[in-house]
Amino acid sequence: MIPYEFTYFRPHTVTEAVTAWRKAEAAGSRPIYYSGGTEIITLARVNELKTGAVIDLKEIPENNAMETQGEKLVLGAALPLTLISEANPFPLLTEVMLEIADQTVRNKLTLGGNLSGKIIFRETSLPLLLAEADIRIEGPAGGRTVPLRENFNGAVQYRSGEFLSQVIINKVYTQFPYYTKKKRKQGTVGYPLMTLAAIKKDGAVRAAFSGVCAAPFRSESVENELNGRSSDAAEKAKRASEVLSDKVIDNKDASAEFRIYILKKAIETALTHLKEG
Amino acid sequence: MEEYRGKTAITLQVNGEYNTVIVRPSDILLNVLRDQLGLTGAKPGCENGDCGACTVLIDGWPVKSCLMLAVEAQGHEITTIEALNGTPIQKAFLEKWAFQCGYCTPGFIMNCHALVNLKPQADDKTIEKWLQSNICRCTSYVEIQAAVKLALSNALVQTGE
Repeated sequence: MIPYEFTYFRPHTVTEAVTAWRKAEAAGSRPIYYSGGTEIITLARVNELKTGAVIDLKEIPENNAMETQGEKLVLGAALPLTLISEANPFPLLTEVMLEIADQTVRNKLTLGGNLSGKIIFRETSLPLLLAEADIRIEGPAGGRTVPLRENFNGAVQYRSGEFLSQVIINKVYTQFPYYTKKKRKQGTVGYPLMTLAAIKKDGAVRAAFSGVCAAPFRSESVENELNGRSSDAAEKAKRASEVLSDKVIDNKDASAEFRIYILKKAIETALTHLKEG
Repeated sequence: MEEYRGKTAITLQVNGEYNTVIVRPSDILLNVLRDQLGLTGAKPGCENGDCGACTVLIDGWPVKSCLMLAVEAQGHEITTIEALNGTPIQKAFLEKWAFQCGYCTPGFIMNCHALVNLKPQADDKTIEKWLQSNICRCTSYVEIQAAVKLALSNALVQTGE
C-alpha cells in the first residue's frame, strides 16, 4: 500500500505529457514521470519517494517505438526490458538486461526507468555508453536529441519537466564483438557488486562499469590502459583499476578491495575474450 | 488524456469479466484484486517485487501485482490464479507435489503457466531464468521445475510436436 494520495495522469502524446507536468507543477504537486513504475512503487510504499502527481508515459507512441530508421535503431523509453530482449536488436544490451532484476519484473521495468531511476546501478546505460547512443528528451521547452555520454553523469541529466522519450543507436555498434559480466554478492538475482560491459571497435576495447563506484561510468583513462602496449591482460587490468577517477564502493556487500579484485578479473577475462573474438 | 484524482470508479477486466472498482490512484493492483474483488489467490508476500507470491498475468505476461497501480491495469486483460482451475500446469503441480506450505504456489503457477504458453520450447536455462522470479521458502524448487517440465512435455505431446 502506498500511504499517500496522488493524481494520476495518462497522456497519449508528448504535448499532453508536458501539459500534465505544467498543471501538476503549478498546483505544487511535485510531479514525477512514470513508466514501468517498479522503482517508484517500491520507494513510495516506504515513503522514500513523495509526489502529488504521477504522469504515466506508457501510452505515448514515441515512447513505445522499436524500429529501424536508416542506420539507426530507435528504442522507446517505455518499452519493458523483456520486449527489447525478446526482439534482441542489440545483443549486448539484451545480455545486460537479462541480468537486471528477474523475469517478471523485467516484464514491467522499462528502459527509460532503468536509465532514469534513483537506484544507482542503471546497467542499461553501459551498452548505450559504449555505442555512443543518442537520447531523445522531451520537455516544456521542446524536444532535443543529444549524445547520452554528454548528458550522463551517472544518470541521465534532465532539465525541469523533461522526460526520456527514446534511445537512438547506430546499428553498426550492435554488431561488434562484446563481453559482459555481472558479479553479485550471492545468487542469480540482485544488484551487482560489479557489472562490466565491453565491446571491441576498430581493434580497440571500450568498457563501461556499474556497481564499482557510486554511478555507472565509461572512462577514457581506463580505456587507455585497456588498449596499452602491454600484451599481458592481467597487467592491463591492474593498470586500469589504478586509474579509476571515483572512489570504489566499500560497504556491507563487499569491501572496496574485493570489488577491485573482481573488477580486475572481469577486465582480464574480457580482454582475453575480445582478443580471441 | 485521462486524469484520476481521489476515489474514482474504474473498470478492470479480470478473468474475462469486467468489474467496476473504486480506487485511489495510488492503490496497488494486488490490494484491489484481493480487497474489492475477493480474488485472494494472489498473495501479499514481500510487497516489494521480490518474492513473486502476488504474480498475475497482464495480457498473458506474468507481472508482480504489487508493482502495478490498479489504474494502470485498465485496458489490459488481467488473469489471476482463480482462472487456472483445472489447467495442465495445476495438474502438473499436483502430480509432482510441487508445493509444501502452498503460500507461494499461486505465484509460481501463474509464472509457470505463462512460461508454458509463451515458451513451449523452453530449455532448462530458460526455465531456471523464469523461476528466479519466485521464491519458495519451503524450497520446493526441484519439484516445481519437474512440474514445469511435465507441463511442457504434455503440451508438446498435445500439439503433436
